[in-house]
Amino acid sequence: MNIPYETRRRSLFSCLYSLRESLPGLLAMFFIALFSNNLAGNPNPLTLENLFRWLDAVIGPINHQPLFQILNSNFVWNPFLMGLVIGNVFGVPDCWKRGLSFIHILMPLGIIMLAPHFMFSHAEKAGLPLILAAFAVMLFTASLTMLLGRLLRMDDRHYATIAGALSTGDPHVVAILMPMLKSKGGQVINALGCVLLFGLVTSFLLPLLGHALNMDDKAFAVLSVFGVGNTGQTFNAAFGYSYEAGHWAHYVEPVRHALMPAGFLFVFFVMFIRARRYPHAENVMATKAHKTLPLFIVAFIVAWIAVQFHIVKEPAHLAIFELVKWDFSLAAAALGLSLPLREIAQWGLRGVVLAFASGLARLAVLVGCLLAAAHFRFPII
Amino acid sequence: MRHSHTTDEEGFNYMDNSGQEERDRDMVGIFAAVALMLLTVIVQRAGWL
Amino acid sequence: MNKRFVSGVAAVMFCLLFSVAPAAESPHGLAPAGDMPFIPDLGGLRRQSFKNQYGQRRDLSEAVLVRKSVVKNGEASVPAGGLCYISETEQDAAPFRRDPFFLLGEHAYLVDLAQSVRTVRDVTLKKGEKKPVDMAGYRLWFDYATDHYDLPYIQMALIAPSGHWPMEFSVSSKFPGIKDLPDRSRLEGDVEQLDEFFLDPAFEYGASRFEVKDHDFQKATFASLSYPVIEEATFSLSRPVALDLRQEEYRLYGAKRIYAFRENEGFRVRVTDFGGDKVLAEKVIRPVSSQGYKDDDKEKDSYSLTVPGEDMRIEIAVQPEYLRHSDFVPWSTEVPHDWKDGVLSLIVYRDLVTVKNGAPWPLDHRYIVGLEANLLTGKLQRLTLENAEPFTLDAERDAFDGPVKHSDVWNRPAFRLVADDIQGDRVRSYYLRDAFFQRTDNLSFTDKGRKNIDCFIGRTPTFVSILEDSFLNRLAMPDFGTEVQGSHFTSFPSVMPNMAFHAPDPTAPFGGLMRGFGREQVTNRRGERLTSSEGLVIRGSYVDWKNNRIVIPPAGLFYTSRNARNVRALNGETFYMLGRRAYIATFESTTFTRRNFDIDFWRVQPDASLHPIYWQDQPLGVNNKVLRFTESHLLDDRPMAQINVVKYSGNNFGAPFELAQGLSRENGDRYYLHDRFAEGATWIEPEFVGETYVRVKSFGTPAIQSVQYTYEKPVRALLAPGEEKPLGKNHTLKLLSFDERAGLATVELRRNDGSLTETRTLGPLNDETRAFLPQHQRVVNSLQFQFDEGKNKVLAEMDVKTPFEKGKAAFYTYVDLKKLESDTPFEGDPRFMVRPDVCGHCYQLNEVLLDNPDPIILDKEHPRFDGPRMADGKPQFSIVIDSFDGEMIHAWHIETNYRKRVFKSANLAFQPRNNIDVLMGVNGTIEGFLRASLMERSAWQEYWRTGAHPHPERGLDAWTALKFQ
Repeated sequence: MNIPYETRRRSLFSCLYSLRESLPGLLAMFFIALFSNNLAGNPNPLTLENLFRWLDAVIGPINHQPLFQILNSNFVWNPFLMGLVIGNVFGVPDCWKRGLSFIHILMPLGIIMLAPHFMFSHAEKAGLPLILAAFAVMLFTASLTMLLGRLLRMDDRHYATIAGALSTGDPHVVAILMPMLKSKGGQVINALGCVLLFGLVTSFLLPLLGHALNMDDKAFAVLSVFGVGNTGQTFNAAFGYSYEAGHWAHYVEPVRHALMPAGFLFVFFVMFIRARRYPHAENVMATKAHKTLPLFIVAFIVAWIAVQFHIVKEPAHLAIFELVKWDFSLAAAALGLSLPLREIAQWGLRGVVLAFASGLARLAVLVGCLLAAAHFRFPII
Repeated sequence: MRHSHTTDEEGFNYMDNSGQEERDRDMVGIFAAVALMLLTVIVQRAGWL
Repeated sequence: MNKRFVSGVAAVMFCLLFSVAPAAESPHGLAPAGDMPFIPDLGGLRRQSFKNQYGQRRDLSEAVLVRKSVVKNGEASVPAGGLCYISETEQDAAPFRRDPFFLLGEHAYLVDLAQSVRTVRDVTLKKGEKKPVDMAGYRLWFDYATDHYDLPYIQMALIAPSGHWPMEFSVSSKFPGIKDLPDRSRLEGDVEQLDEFFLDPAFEYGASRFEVKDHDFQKATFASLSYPVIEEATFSLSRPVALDLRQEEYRLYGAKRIYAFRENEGFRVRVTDFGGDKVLAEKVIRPVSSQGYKDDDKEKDSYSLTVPGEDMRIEIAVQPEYLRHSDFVPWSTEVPHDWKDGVLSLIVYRDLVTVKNGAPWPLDHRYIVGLEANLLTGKLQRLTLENAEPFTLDAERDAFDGPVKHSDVWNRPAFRLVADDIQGDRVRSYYLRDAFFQRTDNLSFTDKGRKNIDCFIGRTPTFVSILEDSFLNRLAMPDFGTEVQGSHFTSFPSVMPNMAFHAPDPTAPFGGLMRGFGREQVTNRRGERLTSSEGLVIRGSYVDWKNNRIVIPPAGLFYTSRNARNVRALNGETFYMLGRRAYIATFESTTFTRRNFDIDFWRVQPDASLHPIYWQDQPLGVNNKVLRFTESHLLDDRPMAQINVVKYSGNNFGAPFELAQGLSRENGDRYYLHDRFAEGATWIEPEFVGETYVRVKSFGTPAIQSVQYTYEKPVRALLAPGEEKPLGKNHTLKLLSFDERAGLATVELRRNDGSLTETRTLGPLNDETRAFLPQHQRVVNSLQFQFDEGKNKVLAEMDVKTPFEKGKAAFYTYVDLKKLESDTPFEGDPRFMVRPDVCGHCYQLNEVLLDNPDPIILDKEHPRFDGPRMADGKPQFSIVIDSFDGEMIHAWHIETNYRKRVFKSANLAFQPRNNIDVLMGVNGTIEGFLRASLMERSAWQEYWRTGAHPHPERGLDAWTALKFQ
């Protein structure tokens, strides 16, 4: 019988269990990570990342971008995929499970360590008007997505995750929001799929729209960064339009990056306040389990503010980001193992409808703004 | 309901995270994150990076 | 009617052109299309560094080159030799050193070479021509001709069939040679301009020798060209098997016995069958050791035993135990000395492949093997495989297989060239696929398509020499905007105390031509057309992140103005001076000499930054030039040194000194280099040439003290005796008398207010003095009359072209003279120091530099720095920091003032940078920096095109990868 944690707790570190209990699970995560990503200090060449790179080279670039980058293969996606395959094909041995529970330590750990990645000063070069516009569009998308999600009667954790990922234009946000919103693994992956599908489709179609509207390269770059998002898909859209647009997309990308925390924190706080206001409503699930504001979010915000003062100098930031990759690789492995495929499917196709409805609305707003800017000769960058 | 992927024989569900256990896990995570970041910054400022 | 006439003429011309068009020229030694795509990385084309048996570094690389292809009528045709695989080592590969070499992606070892020297006689060619000199496809290139004392000297290069050439060499039959260099070891300090100008008719370069018989400015005839060629090379495709040698005993190698019996001169090695009854081969061989001469044809046979028909080659090596099955050498001295102790091993090379120069590739007869020698050492440097027959790609057959490679798994084509979308005269899609089925991006980068399928895939150093004609255009006029390479951020700002004699960061963005930095063709009085251009270089700048500022160290920002050659007096030559055309009036130079000093060999000094430390440099005067010992080789164990003169700008002087002592071709040495060197007015005479240091007995090179110039165009005055001519507003020139036969003219210059008058006899201008024109200042000064001082300075000079005409004497007059004096503040803007650079050959002005004597600090409060002010008081350029967060520079640009308008450059920190090093404008100085980093810059252009991130390279790796200067 499972002994309740409170009974076996001796100190803070009781959540690490004994080495004997946790080692198998830790090793499982470790080896999945080792064979998924080219992580710092990992000399193993037989990784999923390298396999994808080879496939990229065999298939050849699309709009000069590697295919798997367009499909958003990255350090979270690779170990997740491997975990998912292992979990679904072979199952998860019981002895791994204590170790796999470290995912709950790794998630806040990784989120806090992401703070040095979001430097506002990196976005300054784009100019205040663009930053403000991007910020407004982000909040608009998040709000609209949450609103539409409610109208579609979706689970609030599910639509909030989609809102976060879609508005920030970054699929990693689904993982960041997971412990914040207390969403289910299946919702997270379902949301990820929806956002990626939206990005994939629009990244190929957007250049057609751009040509139809005869858009300026810079304007199209802005449109692809804030309208498509998902880095690789942004570049697919922008380079699909023109080289110039591609280069400017690289230039504007840091703005999206710098604003990202504001996006997911916005979604979190909206859901958090909502859960506090309607503590007994049945359909309010997101963040409900949090009794108070989780400490790791406070820690993240403090760290985020602190790094704006260049406390973490550049190579140190790279070193920390290497640790973040390790951290999320391990966590994503555990997440992948936890999910039977049906759990992802169970959240249905409403997410796709939501992502497309909201994403297309955002595109329409952005196109309107950019055309207006062009009309009034307002310099975008 | 027993969950084959995440729950073991004893009924321990590794995707569950609540109560004191959650707070402890958060704290350990926060400590580790702050420690690692501090360590990196100190290492750099001391000239080893 | 006119139209009809024109079209008729055009039709006739067209017919003529095609009727006399020669058969397609061999692509050997020729460059691909200047705008061809370059893809630096494709997995199947390797680039890697290894160490050989003695721990010497060998940098290997492979590439595929397509040249001289044409797309027409839906077909892409490639001539024979147009598709070329190149495997190259930056150093060389020789037997008995276990030198690694790539064979179509497979790691191999060179085990044997058949070398010889080819001599071609009586080659005549015209300027600009790349003339084939032999059947293999070597070409002689007559690149450039210039003069001294009105006598020509020429610059040549011998281009290998692949397109590679190591250096350009200057030769002339019109001047005293190196053997005529007198003993000048008594000279020390600054001495006056010397009369002699040296240039040897023969260029000696180790295993090569090029001797010119006669030449003028347009044509040259070479008496002989000797250069090493490789007839045959044997490679081993597997790691050798090492067996401990036990004397008087046998070791088993598979089903064979290898006996070793000790004899006085080595070991008698006997190979038998398993039972030991049947002797397969037997020979006395000596243990190999590192002496270079042992790979000579006469010697090499006593160091190896090849077993006929058995794919075995046996050598005996002495080496430490840990090396027996490994290429792993824990340290590298870069000196090929033997291991002092260790065990004797029998080294058995297997999987042997022998290839012959000019013969088909053993696995694929559609390809011809080319073996190219290092012109200095005569050892193997390059292996090429070229298509023997021309081929075409079209809709039916859209791919052509590369040569079949050896593989442990499956011998298959090493690559495949595919052109799958050809429409009319344009190809819209073509690419290369390697042996692992990986492909490049579509090499037709734009929708317009290309008119040929030329390309260069991979990173062999041949890329740099093959693009000599077009690299400047490629870099200066990029199709995809100003490429900016993001910086690698380090924990330490790479602080430089002073950047004189240092090159800028090799990743510095190159802005190319920009309005405000002039570049134009100018014509001097003799009708010679010269390109005159100016630019800006920032070097050694860094972000001082501890203090939130950007620092440009002293000498870190310089304005440069330079012509295609030196700027000469008496010819009315012009140069740019801060956007305006300036006329040179006169100059003052000396010879800087030094004696009895040492130069240490320069090694890379790891300091975690991209600026190597040059503490071994030997200064030549103050802010003039430095000597740098940059390369050292052993040629049959005789040390050879390459010493460079480095200019103030950080660029090398065109001619490095290649020195070695005690070599003699008459005594049968394979190599020869001069034991002293002289080119133009610069000479070096070593006392001793060692591997890591050279003791110099005597050295001299020109130094320039000052030049005088004016912005007013010199005016020609034709005066009869007694006649006067106003010289500006305040002066008058009067001819008192002249003597046409003696070439003398006596003139008077006076202030109009009568307060000062001077008389001087100019000349003589006769055959004797003309022999020293236009370069010798003694003669130049004798023909010029400087008068008055300060801002009132004027000058009159004899017209050297037509001094006397219709009973009158001709003069050129200069008013409003300004002076540029070395190491003094610039008159127009004292924040900058004047550093004129001299031509190392000829004492003339080579380049005008204006640089900052004090550090320039840029931060949030001071985001702008104005460059030197032009005559109208406006800065010629300004540096503007747009976005800087104290750690990274996110946006900055350069502004120029040109014709009352302000022009802005692109954002030079499009990707975040940690310095503001930059190259703006295009002139010789900037060209030098670009050439040194051409391969890397081209690679970054490619990453820039697709938005990819380059491979991370940091610290010392970055230095060696970037490999500048």
